[in-house]
Amino acid sequence: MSSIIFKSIVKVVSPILMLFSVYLLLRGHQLPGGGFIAGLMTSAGLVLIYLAYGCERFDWRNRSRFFYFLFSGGLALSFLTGMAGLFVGGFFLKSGFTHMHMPLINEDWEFASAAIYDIGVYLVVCGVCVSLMTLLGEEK
Amino acid sequence: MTAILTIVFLPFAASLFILVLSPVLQKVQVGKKLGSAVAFVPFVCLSLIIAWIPELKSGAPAIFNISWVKTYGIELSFLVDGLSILFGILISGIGFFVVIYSVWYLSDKEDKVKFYLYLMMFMGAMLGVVFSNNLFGLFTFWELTSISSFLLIGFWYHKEASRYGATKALVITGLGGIAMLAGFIVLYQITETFDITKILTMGDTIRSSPLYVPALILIFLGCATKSAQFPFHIWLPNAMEAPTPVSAYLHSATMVKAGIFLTARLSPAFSGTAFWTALVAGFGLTTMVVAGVLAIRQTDLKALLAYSTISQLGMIMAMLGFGTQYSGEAAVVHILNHAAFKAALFMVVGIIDHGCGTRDLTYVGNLRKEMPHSYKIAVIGCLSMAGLPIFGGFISKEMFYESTLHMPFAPVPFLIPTVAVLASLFTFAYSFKFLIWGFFYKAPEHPPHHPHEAPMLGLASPVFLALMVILLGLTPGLFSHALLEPAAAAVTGQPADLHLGLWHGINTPLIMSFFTVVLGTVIFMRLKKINAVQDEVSASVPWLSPNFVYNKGFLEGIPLLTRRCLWWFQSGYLKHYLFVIIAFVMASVFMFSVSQGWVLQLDRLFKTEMTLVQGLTVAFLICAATATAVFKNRISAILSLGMTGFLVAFLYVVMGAPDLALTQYLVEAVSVILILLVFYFMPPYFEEKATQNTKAVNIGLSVTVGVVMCFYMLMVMDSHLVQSISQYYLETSEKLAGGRNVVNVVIVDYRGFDTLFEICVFAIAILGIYAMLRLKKKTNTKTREATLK
Repeated sequence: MSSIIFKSIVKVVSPILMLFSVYLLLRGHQLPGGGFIAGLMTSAGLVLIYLAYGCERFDWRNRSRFFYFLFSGGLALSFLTGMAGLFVGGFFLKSGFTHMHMPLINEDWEFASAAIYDIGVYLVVCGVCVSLMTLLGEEK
Repeated sequence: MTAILTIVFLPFAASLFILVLSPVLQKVQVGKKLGSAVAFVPFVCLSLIIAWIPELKSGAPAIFNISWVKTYGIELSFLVDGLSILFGILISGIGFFVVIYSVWYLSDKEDKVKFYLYLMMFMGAMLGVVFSNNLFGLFTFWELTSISSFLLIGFWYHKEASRYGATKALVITGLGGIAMLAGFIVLYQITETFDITKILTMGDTIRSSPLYVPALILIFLGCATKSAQFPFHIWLPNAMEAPTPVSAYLHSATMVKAGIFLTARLSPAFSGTAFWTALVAGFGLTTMVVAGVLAIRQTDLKALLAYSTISQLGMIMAMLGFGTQYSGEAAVVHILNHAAFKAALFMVVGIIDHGCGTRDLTYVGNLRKEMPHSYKIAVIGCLSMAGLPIFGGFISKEMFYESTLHMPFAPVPFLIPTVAVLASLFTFAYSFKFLIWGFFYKAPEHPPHHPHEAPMLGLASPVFLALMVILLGLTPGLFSHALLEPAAAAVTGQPADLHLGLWHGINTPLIMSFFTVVLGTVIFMRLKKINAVQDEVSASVPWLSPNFVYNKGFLEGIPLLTRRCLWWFQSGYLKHYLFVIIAFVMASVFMFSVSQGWVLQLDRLFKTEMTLVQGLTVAFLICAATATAVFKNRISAILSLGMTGFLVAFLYVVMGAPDLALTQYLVEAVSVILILLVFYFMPPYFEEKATQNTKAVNIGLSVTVGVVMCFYMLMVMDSHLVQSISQYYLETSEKLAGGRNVVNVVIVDYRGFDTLFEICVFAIAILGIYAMLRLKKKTNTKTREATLK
C-alpha cells in the first residue's frame, strides 16, 4: 500500500478531508452534515494516513491512549450537555439556542446547545473508529 | 424543607465526601479521627429529628415534594409523621452509638475509609426509606439499603463465608425487592397514584379491589424478605459475618426493620381483612416459633442473637398482622424496645469476641469476673429480651399477650395465645442461654486468649443503650407522649392513647407471663438434651432447612440451568446467532403485517416507475450482491460487499437524499478498511465445509428475507397505520430547535436520548474489542513463555 504515489496523494487529500469534516461538523445544524458524518470523515482521513505511512510519521501504537481519551471525553461532553439542560432548562437533554451578532463579519450566528452535543458525538465516532483501527493494526 | 433534606442527604454527602477524599485518607493513618468525625453526621440528623417532635403534636404530617419524573407522577417526596420520626430516631440514634462503638472496635489495620463510606451510604438510604412519601422514592432507597448491606456484609471479603453471606443477603432481599416493585405497580392500578399519603386515605377502595390480594402478596414478599421472615430468614444468620457494629446496626436495629416499617406504613390502607391477618400474622407467628426453636440450638453467640432477632421480628410482624388498634400500639412499643436491647446485646458480643478471640459458647464462659461491665449490660439486655419485669421488654411482651387475646379473625379460640406463649418460652430460654452460659457456666474448652474487658470507649455505647432499656421499663411515659403515640397513630390511622406501665393488676397477660417464666425455666434446664435432639434431627433430615433449597436450588441449580440454556443459545458460532436474529426479525415483521390485516398488492410491483439511472444502479447492485455470495476469495468478497454499499449510496444520491448518501459513503469507506484489517486474522479463502443442508438453510433464509421485505415494503406504502411524524419535524425543527437540517436536528435534539445511548453502545463495543484483542495477546505471550520454559 505504501507506494510513493499513494503517499503523495494522501499528503494532499488527508488535510482536505479533515478540514472539510470540521466544516461539516459546524454547519451540521443547518445544512447536510453533523457529528456522525464528520466523525467518520475525520477517521477516514486518519485511516488514510495510517495506511500510507504506518508508524513512520506518527507512533499510533504508543499514542493509542489519546484516542481512548477522545471517545470517553466525547461521551462525557454529550452527557454533560444533557446535564446542563437538566440544570438550566429543567430536564435532561433540554436544548436551547440563541442568535448572536458577530461584530467583525457583520453576520448573525446561531449558537445551539445541540451543536455542542454534536461535537460529543463527533469525538466518540472519531475516537472509536481510530482506536479500532490501531487496535486491529497493531496485531500485525 | 431544608431540615428534611439535610436529614436524608447529609449522610449521602458525608459518604460522597469520604469517597472523594479516599485517596488522601487511605494514605495517611486515619486512626480514630475519621470515626469521631463521622459521628457528627448521625448526631446532626438525630438533633434535627428530635427538634421536629414538638411540631408533630400540632397535627397533620408534613409533606415536601421535589418533582422528579412528572409524567409518571414519580416525585422525590418526603413525609414526616410519627412513624417516620420514630424510625428516624432509631436510625440516627443507634447509628450514632454504632459509630462511636466502631471507633473502638475497628483496629487500625482495617480499611476504615471504606467502612464509614458504606455505613453513611446505608444510613442515608435508610433515612430515605422511612421519610419517603412516594413509592418509587421508597423503592430506590430500599434497594440502596440492600446494596450497602451487601457491601458491609462483604466487608472482610477475603473470607469465603463473608462473600457467601453477602451474596445470599443480596439475592434474597433483591428478589423480594423485585416482587415489591411489581406489587407497587399493581397497587398503582388500583389507586393511580404513587403518593403514599394519598394511598393511605384510599383504604376502602384498595380492600374492595380485585387486585387487593396480588398487590398485598407481592408487597409483603418484599417486606418478608427484608425483615427475614420464615422461610426467607436464612440470609440473616449468614449476614453475621459482617463486623459487629454492622450487625448491631443493620441486622438487628434498623435495616431488618424496614420490612416492618413498610408493613406498618401501609397497614392503614391494607389491614382489617381476614387475608391480611392470615398472611401477616401467619408469617409472623410461624417465624417467631421457628426462629425461637432454632435460636436455642446456637452456640455461636452472634448466631443466637441473629435467630433471636428473626424471632422478635416475627413477633412485631404478628402484632401488625392482628390489625387492631391495640396491637398496632404494641408493635410500635416493641420496635423501640427491641432496637435498644438488641443493639446493646450485639455490642456485648462484639466485646466478648474482642476480649476472648472467639464468641463460641464452647470456648467462652464464666465471664462475669473478667468482664464485669459487659456482664451488667448483658443482664439488663437479656432480662428485657426475656420479657421480665422492670425492663421495657416486659411491657411490650404483656402488650403482645393482650393483643393475641383480642385478635380478630381468630381461627380457634385460645390457639393464638397458646402459640404466643409457646414462642415466648423459647425467647425466655435463649435469653437465659446467652446470659447463664456466657457469664456463669464454665466453658468446656479454653478461649484463644485470656478474656479482658473493653475500655471506656467500647463500653460507652452499650452502657447508654442499657440505660435506655431501663428507662423504657421504669418510665415509659417519657417516650409515650412525644414519640410512641404519634407513631402508633400513623400505624393504626386513629389517634393513640398509650398507658404504658409495669403493673396493671392481676390479669390474663400476667398469668401468661407467669407460665412463660415457669415453663421457660423448665426448657432452659433441659437445654442440653433438647440441643442434642435438634442436632440429630438436622443431621438426619438436611432438606428440612430452607438453606437446602437456597444452596441446592439456587447456588447449584441456577448455574446448571444457565449452562443448559447457554448451550442452546450461545453456541459460539456467529452464523448461528445471525440466523436466529434474522429469522426472528423476519418472523416478527411477517406476524405484524398479518395482524394488521394488510393485503398484498402485487400489481404495484409492476406499476413502479423507474428512471434509467435508477434501473442500472439496481442492476449493478444485484450483480454486486450476488458476487459477494459467490466469490471464494475473501478479499474479493469484501470488495464486492463494499460495492453494494456504495451502490446503495449512489441510489440515495439519485433519489435526492444527500445526507443519507454522505453517511452511507463514509460508513462504507471506513468499514471496508476496518474489515480488511480484521481479515488478517482469517484464512484467505472460505472453507468449503458447509454441507448441503446448511447451504439449503442459508439460501432459504436469504430468499425469505428478500421476499418478506419486498412484500412488506409494498404493503407499507399503502398503509396509514400510524400518522407520520416527519411533517411535525419539518414544521417545527427551525422554530423549536433552531436548525434547518431536520435529519441532524432529529439526531441531536428530538431524539437526543437515542443518540446518547447509541454512542454509549459505540464506546462499549470498542471496550469489548479492546478486551478481546488484549486478552488474546496476553494469553498468547503466556503460552509462548510456557513453551519457552
